[in-house]
Amino acid sequence: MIATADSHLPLIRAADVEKTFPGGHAVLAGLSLDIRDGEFVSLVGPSGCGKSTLLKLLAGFDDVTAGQLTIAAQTPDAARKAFHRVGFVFQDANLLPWRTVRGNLQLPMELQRAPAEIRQSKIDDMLNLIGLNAVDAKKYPRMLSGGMRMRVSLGRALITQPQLLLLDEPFGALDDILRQQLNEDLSRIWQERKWTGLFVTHNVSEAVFLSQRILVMSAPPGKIIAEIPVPFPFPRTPELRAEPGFARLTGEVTARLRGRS
Amino acid sequence: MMTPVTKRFFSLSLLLPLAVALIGCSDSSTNTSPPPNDVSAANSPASVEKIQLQLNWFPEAEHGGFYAADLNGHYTAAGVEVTILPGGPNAAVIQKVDQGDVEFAVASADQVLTGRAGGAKVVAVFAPLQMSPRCIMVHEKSGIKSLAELKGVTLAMSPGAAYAEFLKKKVPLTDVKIVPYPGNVTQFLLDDNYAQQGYVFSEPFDAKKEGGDPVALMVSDLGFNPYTSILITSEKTIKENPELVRKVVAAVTKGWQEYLDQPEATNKRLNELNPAMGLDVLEYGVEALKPLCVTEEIDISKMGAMTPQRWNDLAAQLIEAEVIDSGSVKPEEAFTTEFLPTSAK
Amino acid sequence: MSSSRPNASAAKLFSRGVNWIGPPILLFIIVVGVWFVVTHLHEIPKYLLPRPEQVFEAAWNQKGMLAGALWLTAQESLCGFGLSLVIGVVIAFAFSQSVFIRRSCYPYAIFLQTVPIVAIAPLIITWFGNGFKSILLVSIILSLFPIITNTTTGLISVDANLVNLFRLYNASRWQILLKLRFPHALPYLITGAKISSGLSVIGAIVGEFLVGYSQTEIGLGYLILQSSAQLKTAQLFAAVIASAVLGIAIFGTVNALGNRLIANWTDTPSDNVNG
Repeated sequence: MIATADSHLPLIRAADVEKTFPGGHAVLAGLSLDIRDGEFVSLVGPSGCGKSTLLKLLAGFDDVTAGQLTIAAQTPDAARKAFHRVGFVFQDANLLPWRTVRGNLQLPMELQRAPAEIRQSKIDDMLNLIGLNAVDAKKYPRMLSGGMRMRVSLGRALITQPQLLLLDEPFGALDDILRQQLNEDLSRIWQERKWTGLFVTHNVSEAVFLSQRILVMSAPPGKIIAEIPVPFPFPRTPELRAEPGFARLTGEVTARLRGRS
Repeated sequence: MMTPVTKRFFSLSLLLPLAVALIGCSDSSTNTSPPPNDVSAANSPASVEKIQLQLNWFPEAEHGGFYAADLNGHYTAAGVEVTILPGGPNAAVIQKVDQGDVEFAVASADQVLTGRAGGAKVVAVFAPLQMSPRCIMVHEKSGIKSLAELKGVTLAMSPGAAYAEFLKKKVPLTDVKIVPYPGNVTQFLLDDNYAQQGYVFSEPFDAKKEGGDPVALMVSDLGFNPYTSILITSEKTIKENPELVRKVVAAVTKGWQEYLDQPEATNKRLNELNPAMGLDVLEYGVEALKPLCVTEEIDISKMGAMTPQRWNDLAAQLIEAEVIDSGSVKPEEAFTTEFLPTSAK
Repeated sequence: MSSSRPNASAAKLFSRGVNWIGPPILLFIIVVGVWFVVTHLHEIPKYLLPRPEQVFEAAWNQKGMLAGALWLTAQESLCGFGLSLVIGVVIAFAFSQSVFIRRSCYPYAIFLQTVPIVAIAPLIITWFGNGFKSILLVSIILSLFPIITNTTTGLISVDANLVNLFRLYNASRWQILLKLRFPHALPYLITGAKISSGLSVIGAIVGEFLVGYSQTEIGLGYLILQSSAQLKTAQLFAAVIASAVLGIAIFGTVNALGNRLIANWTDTPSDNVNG
């Protein structure tokens, strides 16, 4: 699973990361965190605090302006090119409109030139996992509902069995019921597959439901101002949401977000 | 299918542009609308008639007489103010005369006949040139000495030109590639296998000036000899204002006689209007025109004359070349000599 | 009540066909009708506006020549259009890959659109002579620009997130171009192709005007010039209508094929739009 020789070392390490965009707009400053292999961590913070930017830096879509950001002790770009498989679930499903569901799921394997024989069975497995049937698999994205598109997007991110999954507010556009359903599915998949997950969200109750730890970010320029462990046991069931402990923790995180301790 | 509303919309949107077209058409075709310019029946010597004369090409030597008449004051003396409009590659002379945009124009006899076949009521009234200047210019080094010998060359002729259709019917033209006439002699100079249409006093001179070896083969040698650079007018003008036609024909006759004799001032004017025509070309042009304008039968005093024989022959040739349909024109209606000064009875 | 399936779908196809062809045919009939009435009520000279029956008669009398000319011009247009597509897409690919190439070469692409063919015809004749090759060149010159510009826009206007998605899997430039940029650019390309289809016909005809042959290879352009010079307006109309039909046919094919290609994932124009 991991490639680091020493499993005590964190998979992701950020040390005083700074990101300033051209034009002088500093989005991240003095941001430090550690994420261990196999963890599921949520990142919450006010709008514009740079949470999505951090994810993009980790995916290698952009470079840090200052500080150190490493995955398994390598730069994100190198790590990705070496052997770490990274998955990214975007805010918008980001599917290729000219491909069917099957075609979209197949894309990562095509790009990484996986042998053709194994592709179909992996797609079938993934369809099962994300809860889509054979009929849906032949549809084009514009014929799918928002929720189904997001499932496909998730499936596509998972199909290469990534070691690190980055999720950027994936369920923000969906209604509550659907969001809760997808949270439960995501949690189940994580427990089965055991990848490292970094989940960015606005929704505190979602963060509490899914994570082992919640990192709270400050207003821009963003840095980590609080770390809150989520002690509830796994597997997390829908009933958990009704428990008083859940509401208390949600309240605590919200308060931290608002700036009161 | 289409709803009633859509149908109505279509019909209306159609009728609108057509209505506009109707208005445009009716103006030029009804016989009751007044003549466009100040050419009324009232012919008091005090009033000056303003008319226009449209040329069929840029001002060149073959238009000399018309300009000479202007410079030497013959139009003005007759109480007529003539504006000569230069033409160009697409001068629609037949259409303009028929529709009354201009009262007079310069055209060639074959154009008059094709125009009449198409319903344009134009009439030729004065022919300064008795011999057609139309030639095919070949390279001397090609060794081609007559039109019948044309073979293995690229031949540039205007698509649809009457003489071109005649030529295609009369000579074998083996291995000849016919291409559009480019309007200049550049391609001729570049390609030794090139031949092109021209007027005997124009293109060959240009080519020779640039160091080429042109030889002009006259199309009239084949028997195709339409009156060229003739003055035409409409049946309407003749009917409603014969005096005007008489005056203009008299003026241009004098103008042409004077141009052939003393062309310098007129050539200067032509050069001003058309700088591409150098004074040397024009000078050469006048000399080349003289044998075309004045022949054994028609001396300079009888300038402008036309014979029914020539018009009948031309009509027959055009029918043979399939330029006009048999029976589509009556050649005797296409011209008149009644306005020539020498025909005064 | 339950009609057999084949009949029902055949009827549906027929009615769709009628819906599609019906309105233009109806418009055509109306136009010809008004034209007929106008030319019979007024004394309009034949050389100015011939009567519809005169145009049909002229077309019929010349049908062999007209058909041959239509075929020749069609060949020139189709080859010109096809080559424009290929060359245009290749150039667009190059433009999409390098900002430097795009910035330095784009003005010359624009030059293509604005250069008057009359001015460069002598050059074309000197280099390629008269005939099919040169006419093809003129047709390409006229129809190339819309392909280049539309396809380039389509190739470079891809959502940044999609490009990031591809980079996530370490996709090569070529993979990004073929699997992402090109499918994305297809609707743009098709729009450009629709514009180019008509232009390729105009190009073929203008080419015939300036750099063509006659005698052995008579195209619609030659017929147009010939009938114009001889004031045979009915024949002129017949040739012009033939070239319009050619343009419509090519456009219609491009339109239908294009829509077919992208129907699954775009909102193609629907016949049901009612204002």
